[in-house]
Amino acid sequence: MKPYSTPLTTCLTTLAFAACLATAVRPAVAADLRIGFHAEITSADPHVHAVQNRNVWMHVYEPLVRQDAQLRPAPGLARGWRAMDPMTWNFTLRPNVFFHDGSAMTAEDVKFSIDRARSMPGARTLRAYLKDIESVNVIDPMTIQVKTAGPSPTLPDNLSLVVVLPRSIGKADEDAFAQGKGAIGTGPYKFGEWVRGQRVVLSRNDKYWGDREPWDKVSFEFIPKEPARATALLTGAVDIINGASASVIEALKRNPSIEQAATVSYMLNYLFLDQRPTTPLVTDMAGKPLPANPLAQLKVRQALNLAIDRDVIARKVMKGDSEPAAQTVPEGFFGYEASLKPGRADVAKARALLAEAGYPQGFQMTLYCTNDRYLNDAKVCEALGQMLTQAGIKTAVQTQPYAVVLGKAQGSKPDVSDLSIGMMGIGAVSGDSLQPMIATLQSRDPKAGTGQNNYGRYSNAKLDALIVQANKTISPVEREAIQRQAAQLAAEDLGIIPLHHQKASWAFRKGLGITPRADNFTYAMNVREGGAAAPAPASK
Amino acid sequence: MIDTLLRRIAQSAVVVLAMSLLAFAGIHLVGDPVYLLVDPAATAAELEAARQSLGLDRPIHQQYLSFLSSALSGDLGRSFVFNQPALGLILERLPATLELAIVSLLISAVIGIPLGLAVGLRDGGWLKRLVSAGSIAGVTVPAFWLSLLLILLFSVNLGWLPSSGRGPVGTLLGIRTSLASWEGLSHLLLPALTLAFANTAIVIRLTEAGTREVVSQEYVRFARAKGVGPLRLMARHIAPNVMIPVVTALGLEFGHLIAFSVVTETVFAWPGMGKLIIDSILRLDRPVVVAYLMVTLLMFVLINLVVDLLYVVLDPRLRTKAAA
Amino acid sequence: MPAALAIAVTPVPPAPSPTRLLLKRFLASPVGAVALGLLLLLALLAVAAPLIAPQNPYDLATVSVMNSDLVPGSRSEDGTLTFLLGSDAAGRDILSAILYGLRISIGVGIASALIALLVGTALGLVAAHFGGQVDAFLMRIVDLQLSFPTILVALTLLATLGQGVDKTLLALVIVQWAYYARNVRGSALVERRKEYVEAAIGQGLPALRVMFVHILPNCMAPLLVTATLQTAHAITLEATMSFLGIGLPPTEPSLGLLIANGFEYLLSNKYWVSIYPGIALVLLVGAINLVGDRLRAVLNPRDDQ
Repeated sequence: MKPYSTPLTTCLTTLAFAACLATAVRPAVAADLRIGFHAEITSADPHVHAVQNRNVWMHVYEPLVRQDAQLRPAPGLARGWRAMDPMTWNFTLRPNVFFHDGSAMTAEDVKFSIDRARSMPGARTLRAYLKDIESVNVIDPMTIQVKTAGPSPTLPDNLSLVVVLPRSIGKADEDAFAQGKGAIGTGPYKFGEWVRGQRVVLSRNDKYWGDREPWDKVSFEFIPKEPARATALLTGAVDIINGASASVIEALKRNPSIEQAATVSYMLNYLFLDQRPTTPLVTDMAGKPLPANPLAQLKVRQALNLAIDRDVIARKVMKGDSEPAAQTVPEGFFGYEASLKPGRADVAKARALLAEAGYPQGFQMTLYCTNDRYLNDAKVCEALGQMLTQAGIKTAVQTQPYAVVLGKAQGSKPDVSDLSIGMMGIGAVSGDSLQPMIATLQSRDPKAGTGQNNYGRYSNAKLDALIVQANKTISPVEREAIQRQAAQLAAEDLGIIPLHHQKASWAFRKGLGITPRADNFTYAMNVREGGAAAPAPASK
Repeated sequence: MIDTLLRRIAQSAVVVLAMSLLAFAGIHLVGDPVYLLVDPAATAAELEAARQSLGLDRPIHQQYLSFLSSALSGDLGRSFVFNQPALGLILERLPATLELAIVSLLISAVIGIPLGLAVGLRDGGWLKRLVSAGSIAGVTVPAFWLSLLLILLFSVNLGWLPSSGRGPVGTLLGIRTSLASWEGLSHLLLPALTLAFANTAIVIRLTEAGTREVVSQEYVRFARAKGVGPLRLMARHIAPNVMIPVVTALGLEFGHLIAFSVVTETVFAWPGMGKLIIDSILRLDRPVVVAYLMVTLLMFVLINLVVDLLYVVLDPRLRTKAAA
Repeated sequence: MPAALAIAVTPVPPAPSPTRLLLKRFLASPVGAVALGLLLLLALLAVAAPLIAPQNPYDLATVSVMNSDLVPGSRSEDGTLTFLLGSDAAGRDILSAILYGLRISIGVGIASALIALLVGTALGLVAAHFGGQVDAFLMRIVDLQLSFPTILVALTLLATLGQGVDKTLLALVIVQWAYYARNVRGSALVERRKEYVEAAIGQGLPALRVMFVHILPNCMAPLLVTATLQTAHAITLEATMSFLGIGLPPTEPSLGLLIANGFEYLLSNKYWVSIYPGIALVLLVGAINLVGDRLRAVLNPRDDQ
């Protein structure tokens, strides 16, 4: 179809792009993969904690424990691991693994790497995930032992964030990495170049211990704006893009040479609710402060839960980019309780519950949300405001940048929140419901480091007990049973109101296929020629 | 001459200082950058440690004073996000912005000056009306909307030009520029056109006004009466005299182009200083914001000074006055 | 004798008032007339927005996400509302959003121009009146500020002040006052040398009175032109800042923010979210610019071709 056969005026006035689109998608040079990436890399040091950086550097470096597509732990540079006792873990390393400079990987390198990550200075570090580690010891060249201060059942998952660097890099710090020194890993690709603000280019490691990669070169092009990413895909400037949400999928769908893939991700959007006796931003219908905090009552929280129509939000606001949720993790994750399904909205029942709780006229409140952090966050909030208002709770919506909302939620005065209700997000980064529950539902204790995201100061002793117990249980089967119980209790008491899990989405040229990952990561190792029927790459 | 220069420099130094103080204090009030850097599940202890490592736990006046003292040795602090020297980050992106600004300037000069001359010579006519409408459009249509329209037309509909990013950088005449390849040029075209749009309107107006004034001068009428041909008239008498104010104005416009590139770079994801500053403002990366403002201010002072000197150099009348 | 007296006292028709003359000359140009008409229409629409808009897009009780992303001309789910220009992702009527957005854009633009006018005029008059050190100091600041592009000044201020209507207003006022100050000071200096001012001063009238009652009215003409063009500039600047995400907050969506919201729909067929607000903005700013241009031509007959 000749792209210029449609009159230009028609194109401009109706802007029916699909009809006017040039269908020719320029193919890439054979065996190169160009990825249109949604963010820019902020550091070349893989021990610096930044989610988008990790997506890229996981091609060049590898951790002991890998995360599979559902974020479950899988063997990486460690062939296997065992808890010798509740506070000692032994990891058996994979033999015959070589760094890009030819040197062999041994337990000394692993010890060096973990110690380096634990002691890294600065703000963007992995220390939060490694704080349980007391010491790392070399048992023999192929075995490493990690001792923890208390039982740490999630230690292997946490170690999936720490990549192994050769100890020969010595004191190379972030600056050294930025200059290109020290970029030596064991991964399937080697570091090529990093043009700040524009792209990272990697080249295949022909001496990789695992399956040989089909791509000679992999480049990540940084294109933060979604429409620009989609345009780049359409014009053939890149082969695959991540973050292809509904707003661009519709246009891309009409193009027969573009395909999509999606999966539910770990990112949960939820509402936190102030549980203190009085709360700042809730008043009666006339605007006068109320004697007690309505949100502290279970019936009111239940009413809120019933007023929200998650299906409408998923359909109309997220346009298919979300999966309604009733717990902190999506299906397939560790700790998921299958019997907890998000219920249907019931506005009448919500109103009845409000009356029962003592608010037959309803009340007013202000809902705070971010406008620059989560997919469609401002739009979801506006829809929430509408729905709650129509159920009798007159809701004003305030959307502000994440830094501002977070500051208010944490509280301008120590330990006092400025907000009554807000929408936030939490991700089960390790594929496990324990960490998000600790962060959002466990009682807040700054010294112990629990409840960091429990902005509403929710406190349930029974739930706390379950969470603490799970955190001490090494056996996965036992632990999961306890976490499922905790999820059940959390859903009954509604300490937070889970809304939905965001979906991770990709679009790519016809002929490619990708194994979607729940952490929204785009790995060249998961992208193959051969379309959707491409087999999942082995040992990943 | 010299004391005006010195006074200028002193005043500019005061402005730069005031600006840095303002930016420093202001961003501090807008929000806490630490939240954007650490893991969302970080404990209070880790937040404090992060603040300490960035020096944000000290009182604001202490932070400012230490900033000033290191600024004197060229260290404008480290970016919170990249942990790289802020000045280095800005200088790294400067060539991309300069490239965009220079190409835009050339486009608006190449289109604007001939059009302005043509319109200034004739009185009225369809060309004048067309150019008049065009220059109103140039001032009215907001740059960001125009870029959307251009992307719609040339990238999405026609597929002729890419909509974002900078092309490959090669070496042309010893300078590293993306003009060295066709692909680089295709990436540059849309952003440069957007940026040039408003500027062309200004150039046309300036040239037209200047031409009209010059044409009505005695020496031009005299030359015409002598029988000097139109081409020679234009080349030797009119154009050079119109050029003086136009070139100096172009010099000042260059500074404006650099400032306005903020919008164009954001829409087209052009990796220049402008995009960096917007991203940094939204990410609360204070060191980069402060460094950008200081660098840009200094650039402006420099451009203004150079333009003033140029004016004296180009206009022989001022040269004699200055010598006197 | 009586005949001569009769001739002398033949009544002469009263001269038309200066504003009448101004208007007549203004309207002599078709472009100027159309622009003025358009501007008045837009202003009227903006003022009457709450009355004529089909929907109040910021009243959450009337907006439903069930009506999101509808094509121009569709009806709402319950059939009570026709979305003449389509709806956005939250179910807001674009036409209503444009009307309210016009309100905010015009409101912020005019408010900032007025405040800047007052501040700038006052300072300009002060500089012209006192002369000497005061004048030199004030004009130095004016020159310095004017040598920097407005977008840079606005960017700096908004980066440091944060988002908000009041902060955006403040930033716009700071950006603009220097133009007025320089303008008024120039005119005032010229007027000051004129005889009537010397006479007034000689009469012993207080300085303030001389400034405001005698000098200022004669500076109004160029000031009016500047005010018009600066208002257009302020509106465009605010739209640009809102588009970049550092201007007005999302709770007070101006046209710039509406356009930014529609940016992501570039590729899908939902052009109406960005294009129509953009057209409204261009019409508004264009009308103001044309009116200002025509005013300048009318008030300075020498420049009028």
